[in-house]
Amino acid sequence: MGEQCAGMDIAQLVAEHHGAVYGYAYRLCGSVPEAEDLTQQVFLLAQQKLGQLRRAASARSWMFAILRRCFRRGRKRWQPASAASLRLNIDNIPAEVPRDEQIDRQRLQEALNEMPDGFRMVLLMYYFEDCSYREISEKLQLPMGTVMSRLARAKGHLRSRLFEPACTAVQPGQAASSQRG
Amino acid sequence: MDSQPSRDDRILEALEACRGRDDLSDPALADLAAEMAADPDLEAIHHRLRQIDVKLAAALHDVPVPQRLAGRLLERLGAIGATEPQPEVPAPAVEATGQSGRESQVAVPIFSQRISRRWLLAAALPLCAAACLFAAVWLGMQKAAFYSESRVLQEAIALFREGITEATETAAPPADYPFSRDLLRVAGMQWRPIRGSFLGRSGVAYELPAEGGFRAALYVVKCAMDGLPVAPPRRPAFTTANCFASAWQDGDLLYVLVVSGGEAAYRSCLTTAHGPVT
Repeated sequence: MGEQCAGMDIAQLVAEHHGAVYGYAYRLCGSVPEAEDLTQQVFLLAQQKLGQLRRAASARSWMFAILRRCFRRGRKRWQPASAASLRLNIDNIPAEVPRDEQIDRQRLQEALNEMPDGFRMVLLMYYFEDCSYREISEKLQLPMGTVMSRLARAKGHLRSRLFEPACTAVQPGQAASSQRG
Repeated sequence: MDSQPSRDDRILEALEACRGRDDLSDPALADLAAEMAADPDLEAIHHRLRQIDVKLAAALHDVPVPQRLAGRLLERLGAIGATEPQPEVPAPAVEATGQSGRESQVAVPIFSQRISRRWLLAAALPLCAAACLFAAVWLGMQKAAFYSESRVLQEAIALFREGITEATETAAPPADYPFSRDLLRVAGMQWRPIRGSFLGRSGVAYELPAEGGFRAALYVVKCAMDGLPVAPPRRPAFTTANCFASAWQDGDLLYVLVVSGGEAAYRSCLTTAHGPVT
């Protein structure tokens, strides 16, 4: 350990962030043992690189960045992100905002597991890290158009798996083009 | 799928990406801003999307954290003696929300201020039990659902072809991942840890010394698969471009042997008179 930064040591990082890091890892991997392995890798690296952490307030985003790197390094060889694997779809926006209990947690994870890694990563950065499309583009070094395309398709897929039976169709072309004549 | 998205597609993509009015000033969302200014329906859809996003974000954060995860992490990090971590670890019920520590206090102040730790513990126990049960069931279902033998072998061969990218260890290998009793132990054998590079799991790679133009490696990870033999077959189960590979299951350990240099070289790694001829 030895190195300390911003008044934090590794025990404090674990205590404060293990839940969030594990949760993110679980959403990325889709399995408990893999998520635990990944979480461990993240904290091992964090321990080694603790000197790089400048501010305690940015500890979480710093650890999430480590998490993404570890995940990509472990996965890129056998599951590349394929372009346009999912359909762009906003037909499935529910007519009413669903209640919390209407979101089936198991189906949610299944929907994530079905996505290529590249789509899942963008989606989780948007929801889990609260990143904007521009931040995602910068952090992943992807063109902004690619980020928007993946994000829209991933969100559409998630909604279709969660809400499809109960949704009311919105005509995607209609709303967007209603004023174009 | 078109490589150049249509204008409608671009607007729909922007609609999904846009978080609010601040984003609309971004030139990248100029088309969307114009459409929304002209079409109140689109603005209503956008507003509803944002509300759904909030719900989905909350659901995604809701991940049950395994019991004593923080303690196990600290043990592995060798830092358990440095502090008394347990009192600092957030209460299990808060852990179950996927939030922790200081940030969870910001996100859910009502929890941290009004509800006693004892109540949280009482509420967390059934949650943890349910999480363990779910994990056990899920692991059982996972047994062979995601890995086929051919995928395992192909991954092992890919790893084998990458060669040795990490330094080998000089200490004794971990007892959790022993060398197979069905293979001949040879002098000069080395090992290195696998950290997620094979089937996304941790384990050990044993490198047998290269002799007479052949090279061999044994990969050991904890993984339960159905339909595998319990010992290495005498003939390799998979052959490609001079690589010969077989997988077998010994208890909860998955072994994969990959040999280059010929089928005879593969057989020379095995102890005699065992394993079915495939």
